[in-house]
Amino acid sequence: MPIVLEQLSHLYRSGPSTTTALEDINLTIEDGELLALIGHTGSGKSTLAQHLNGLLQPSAGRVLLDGQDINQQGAHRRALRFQVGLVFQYPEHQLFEETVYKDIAFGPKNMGLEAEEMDRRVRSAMELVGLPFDEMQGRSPFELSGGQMRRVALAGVLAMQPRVLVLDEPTAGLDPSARDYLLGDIQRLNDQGTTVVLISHAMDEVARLATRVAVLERGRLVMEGPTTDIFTQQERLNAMGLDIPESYKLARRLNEAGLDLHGHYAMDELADQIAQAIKGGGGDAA
Amino acid sequence: MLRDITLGQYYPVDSVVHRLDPRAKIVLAFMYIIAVFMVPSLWLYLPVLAYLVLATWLSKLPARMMLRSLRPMRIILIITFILNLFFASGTTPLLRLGRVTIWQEGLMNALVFTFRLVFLVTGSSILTLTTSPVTLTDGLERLASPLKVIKFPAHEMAMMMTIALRFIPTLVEEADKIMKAQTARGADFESGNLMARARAMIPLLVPLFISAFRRAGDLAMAMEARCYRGGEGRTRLNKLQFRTRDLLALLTMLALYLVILLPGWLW
Amino acid sequence: MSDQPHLQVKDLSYRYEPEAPLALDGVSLVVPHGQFVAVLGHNGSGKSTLAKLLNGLFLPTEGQVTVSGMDTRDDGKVWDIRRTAGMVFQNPDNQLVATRVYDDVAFGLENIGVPSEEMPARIDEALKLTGMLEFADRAPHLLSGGQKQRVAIAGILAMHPEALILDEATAMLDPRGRKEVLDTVQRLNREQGITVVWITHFMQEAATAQRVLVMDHGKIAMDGTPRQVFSQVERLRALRLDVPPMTHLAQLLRQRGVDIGMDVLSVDDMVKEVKRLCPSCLNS
Repeated sequence: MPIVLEQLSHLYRSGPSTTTALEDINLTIEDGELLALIGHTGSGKSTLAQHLNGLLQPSAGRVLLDGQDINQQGAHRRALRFQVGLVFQYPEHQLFEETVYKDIAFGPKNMGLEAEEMDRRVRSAMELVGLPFDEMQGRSPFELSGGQMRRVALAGVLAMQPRVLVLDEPTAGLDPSARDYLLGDIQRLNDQGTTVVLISHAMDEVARLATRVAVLERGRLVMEGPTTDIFTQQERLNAMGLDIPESYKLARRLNEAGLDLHGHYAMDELADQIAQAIKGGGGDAA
Repeated sequence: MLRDITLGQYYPVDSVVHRLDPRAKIVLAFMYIIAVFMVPSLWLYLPVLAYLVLATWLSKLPARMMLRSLRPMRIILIITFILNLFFASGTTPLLRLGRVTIWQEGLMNALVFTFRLVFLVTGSSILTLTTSPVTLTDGLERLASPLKVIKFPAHEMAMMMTIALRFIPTLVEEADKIMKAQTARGADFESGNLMARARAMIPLLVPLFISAFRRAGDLAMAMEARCYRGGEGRTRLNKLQFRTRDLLALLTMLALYLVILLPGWLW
Repeated sequence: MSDQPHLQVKDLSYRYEPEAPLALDGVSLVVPHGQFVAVLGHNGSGKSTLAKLLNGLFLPTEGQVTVSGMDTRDDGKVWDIRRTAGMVFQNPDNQLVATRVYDDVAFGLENIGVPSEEMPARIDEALKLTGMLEFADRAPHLLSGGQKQRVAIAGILAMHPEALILDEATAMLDPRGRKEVLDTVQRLNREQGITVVWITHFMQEAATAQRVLVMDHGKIAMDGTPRQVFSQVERLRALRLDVPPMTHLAQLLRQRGVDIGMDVLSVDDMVKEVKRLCPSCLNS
């Protein structure tokens, strides 16, 4: 159990008023899972994400990593935090170093690693995001394309080798092919054992990657469960102003019209089921 | 949190002072500052105080707001008072505390300098409290426009000020985001000596500057797309008009000058 | 509406620098009055470059761009062109110059020398058309992305343009913001007859246009109705683009031996096709 959020609340003051950003969140993020966090802009997703690595402290409740409260006093606090990597929206806006190498090495350097280990990590991180080391390491991050800059920024966090990776709208502003590559990278990272928390507005991406979905609304955790369970509750999500993936919309229409899809709503399985039904000539999809 | 601060702390109420032409108010503020420095004796600060109280009352500004404008200054005020009290030299001793003497002149100086600061700050804050930033830059631009004959870029300066005011909250938000992103990568903005902390700012300042330049480029293109071509031929949404009340306001300032200076001339 | 094409591009080529490769390569295009045309293309395909050439922000290296018959290279006409073809950019923040929505919408009017007395009516109308009238007194930094873009659109509408060019105006917005902006612009196209050039990489948005252009390496690679364009799935993939999810599903079904039509864009289309192919599968 890497991360447990216990009755987590976060309030902040702006002038005379107090706003509740998060209210009584109870959530466990299991090892190795790919959890998606969805909800409106302003529902508290980013605030929640910043609690996971200790950037923000709870007003009430606790954040536990391996059973330890990450916000308690002690030398281990920083080390605990380095286990959770957070990639903000438009992460390329944080690039600052003269070379790609130096920027990616920033994180490991702050962790106090030896030069050799640092070098290993930079190389491995660049490989993970598909940036050829020899060609790219000496270049200035600012002469790269938007998609490449984003990969450098991602590598900068991956170089810290966090156990948990939190990504806030990782594909925002990317064109379809760059988006595709990045989603593939994320899937691969998760396959290799990194726990991933994905914050996204793009429901099709969520359907493609996530095994579990948590829904935030106005600071409260209102729904949580396996992806299929969540996306089949179309009315409830629509009432919150959230959409569901196209494949789920189709599945629902077909189900209502009498075609039983056995709960397979991911694209490939959906295609299998429909093809089978059509070829079978009618009735139940066997 | 910083997003809610209206820069210049404009206090939107409808008062006669709010409705004055910004050019008149700027001139008044200027004349007021000069007046504060010209007051020849301690007692003549009383009319200045009276003027200030009257202006505050006419502006419908709550008294505590005026006092709040002094808060950032309190340390300077205390230091000014104490320095002048203990370290001025004079001829008439008031009090002896061990080796330190408090002279009468010292006390007078302390009071005068402190009052000056108080009146300066509270008086000029009436300008920013009763004039919105946009109106203020407008007023400054119009006042400075005669200087265009000597190629003084009045319009460009006003445009720069407006754009700066518009973008400060945005840049603050961005700085906050960058700081958080770098902190998440282990950056430490808090500990270490002055040198270490200055160096730690690089991961914050470099991205911020680059972003600011990018914004400037984008904005310039967007402005051109909306037919911006400098100050020539531009009309204005808000026409400033000098009215009788503006003239009267200026006359009150002249009256204050007379009250302050006449005693010196006559006696 | 005149019978003159509204926006016209003839053999247009553009290079960012003398030695650089061509960003646009001999593009010719005619956009008639009142059309809503979506422009798709991978990053670097030239779609943004094309946008900036349409209103004279960039001048052609070769070829010609005319807006309502006015050539963009004509110095005397460039301001009229920009008033006629207004442009909305990608970053919602980097277009707003004033500290108040109302004042920002006035900016364009001030630039073109509209008399002060006429401004309030035009500003109010523009804000109403974009649904932002209640935000007139608000500071821009307190608005959401979608609201900021609508203010930017209002700023252009106040200048009474005939065409709107939107360069990936929704790329940085959340789904709600994207919908707000697309709905607003579609309404302006329908009700005010404003010609719209909508540059995007969101397939769902392009699917709602009357005409879709696909750009690739500085040339127009595809030009047709959404159905015509999106049904060519392989071609789009080769051009590094995506297809709407249902079109992708149709392709998957074809791969599994189902003889489904390829111009399936929406869930409705798909349901209809399933019914057609297997009437007994569905009972409705």
